[in-house]
Amino acid sequence: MSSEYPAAPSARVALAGVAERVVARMAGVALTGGDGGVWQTVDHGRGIRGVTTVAQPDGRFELTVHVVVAWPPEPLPKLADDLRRRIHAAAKLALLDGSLGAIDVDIVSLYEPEPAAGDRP
Amino acid sequence: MADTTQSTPSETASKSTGAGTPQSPLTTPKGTTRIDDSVVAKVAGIAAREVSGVYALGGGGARAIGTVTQRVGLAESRTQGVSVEVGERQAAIDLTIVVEYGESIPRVTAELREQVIRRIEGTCGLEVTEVNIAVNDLHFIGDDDQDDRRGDERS
Repeated sequence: MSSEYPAAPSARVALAGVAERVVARMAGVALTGGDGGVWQTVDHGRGIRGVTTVAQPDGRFELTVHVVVAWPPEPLPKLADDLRRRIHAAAKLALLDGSLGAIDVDIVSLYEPEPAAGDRP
Repeated sequence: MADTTQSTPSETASKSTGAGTPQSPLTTPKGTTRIDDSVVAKVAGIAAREVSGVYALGGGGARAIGTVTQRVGLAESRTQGVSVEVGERQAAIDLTIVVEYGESIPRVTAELREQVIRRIEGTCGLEVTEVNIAVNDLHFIGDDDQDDRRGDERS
């Protein structure tokens, strides 16, 4: 028997979704699923690419956020700290901070952004 | 023609976190930051190109193959001639460069070393323990013109 309502996302997926939305709002940073999209959180048919979650013995979830960063980057440790701070704040707003453990940031690559249409000669 | 300076013992890029070593900005109580080798190599490659007197990175063969692979989208020009070894808080860099004829190789390599260290420590927060530089060719003004002319004659 299947319910007509989709299942509520687990805390694991909800936290991954929080991280996804935070990264989407940051300029010069984008999530990457890696080769073959191996870095993703999947649950109940929904997948969030670029965020992996690992359950900890204390019931919380450790997040790893896999990102590519636009050149020229600001100092990468500062960028990672900023990302962590924003995810913590967003998780708190979503009442998920109790489930959030450490946040690891994996900087996979640098990319050069496409010039805006107005910048082209 | 290699110019090599080693500032610390050779196991530099290993993961030394012994007592008394300063805390890395990449390891915090709230989580760790991992920077891929390719990111460090790209930063080093871009920093190297900013130094005057550096004509190109990579050996002759690497540059020839690199030109082809870059055209078909298989290679990244910015990491050509750059090899890195990255640990948790330290990195060691090997560079192969072509220097403009007439430039002082000791000056170019000293500036290059300084620039790469400044960029990697500033951007990546990694301590650079050594920058080994191999100068494998000199570039003469007019070399490119001759290559272009030969190409035109063939086509």
